[in-house]
Amino acid sequence: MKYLSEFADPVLAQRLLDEISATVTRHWAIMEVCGGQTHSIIRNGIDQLLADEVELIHGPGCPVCVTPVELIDRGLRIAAMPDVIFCSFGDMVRVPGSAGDLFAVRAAGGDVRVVYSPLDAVAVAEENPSKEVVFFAVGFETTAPANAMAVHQAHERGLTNFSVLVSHGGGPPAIEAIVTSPESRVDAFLAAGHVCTVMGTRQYEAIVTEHRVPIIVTGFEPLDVLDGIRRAVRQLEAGRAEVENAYARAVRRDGNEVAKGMLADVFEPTDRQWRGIGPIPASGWRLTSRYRSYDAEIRFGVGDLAVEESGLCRSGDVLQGIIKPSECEAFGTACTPRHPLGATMVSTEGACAAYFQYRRLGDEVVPGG
Amino acid sequence: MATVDFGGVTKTVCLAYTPDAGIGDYTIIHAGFAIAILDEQAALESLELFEQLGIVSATTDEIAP
Repeated sequence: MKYLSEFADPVLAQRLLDEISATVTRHWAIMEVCGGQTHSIIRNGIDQLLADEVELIHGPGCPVCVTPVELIDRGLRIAAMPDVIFCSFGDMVRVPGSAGDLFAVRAAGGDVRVVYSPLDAVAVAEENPSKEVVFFAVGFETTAPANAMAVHQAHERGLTNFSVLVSHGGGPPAIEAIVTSPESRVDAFLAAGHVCTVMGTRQYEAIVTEHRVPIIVTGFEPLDVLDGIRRAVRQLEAGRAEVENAYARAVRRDGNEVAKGMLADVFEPTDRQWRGIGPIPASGWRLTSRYRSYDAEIRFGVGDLAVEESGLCRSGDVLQGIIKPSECEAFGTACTPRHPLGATMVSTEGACAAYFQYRRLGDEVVPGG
Repeated sequence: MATVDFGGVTKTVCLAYTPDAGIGDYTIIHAGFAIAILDEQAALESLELFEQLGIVSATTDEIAP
């Protein structure tokens, strides 16, 4: 058992597709929340293989994509300061702020470093006691435990030259915002399996009860995605709305208690802006009072920086599932992965990047699009 | 910390969130941290379910007029 190739078996994929076709009787719009799922769907052509009645809407589950532009600008400003080493995950360094990106800061002489793990940034801080080391802590609940551990370790080791620029969020409030949006067409959700390895399936139970919308916790391999869709269609056709776990090999109802304990120690809920979407109450996290001194926005006094978004990019409509990437006028012309206008074209989890990479350029029929 | 084999590439990752992980376990790694241990029994049950679906569908097709 390797857990990967077995879940990409074409014979079983066809059986799942047949089962979906045999069950579905009318149009249903199902949102895959996570950008990793979007890439799996487009790479494997799952949207093209599905029964015509099933429309997949690509959700906002790309943490890089929804990081507000003003926070990126704050990062750019800090990174350009003398005696600062600015550490970031790889896909954040190419995301455009209102003027330039972190690569541009590095080209201009700033010390911007790509790290694999936030613990690497803590190590940089230990090795460079005369510098301020800032880590751009971007991510949903899958990444947040790693970043929480970095802050915790810096605290344990008494590092006073380490801080984090926090862009964390996710959770039920984000799904709830989509459900209650007047523009929403979503009938059911495929929730992000890896988020749920940490947070568990229990967190969605209140939403399905209150809003009568099925939520299927779904993995990322082709059979995982197809099984998530199969279960969603089955619930919708039967008029049921429940939380189902289609990723049982990795997800438990209560999630990862150790990681959740660390999260509760380091972070607390706060209102946050989602790039392209707007403010969602209680959908973000900030450092708790115990760790507030590690907040880079406070340390460097950049918290009040505000900026305007470019008008051409429609990533907000893409992130809410209102349009498909290829319906944006700038897609593939003014906006490409080499010259992105918005984060959805940059990130490895962005829907625009998926459409561009797998040649969904809009001149072919996109089911339901 | 532990050494994890990513299909040939090895990396050092933190096991603080999966204290029960042992040698030979498959884990999900994110940002240098193991966040879940994969459950082989559950994986096999999923695959078995997909196999059964095919049989159920095929049988239904045969019965259908």
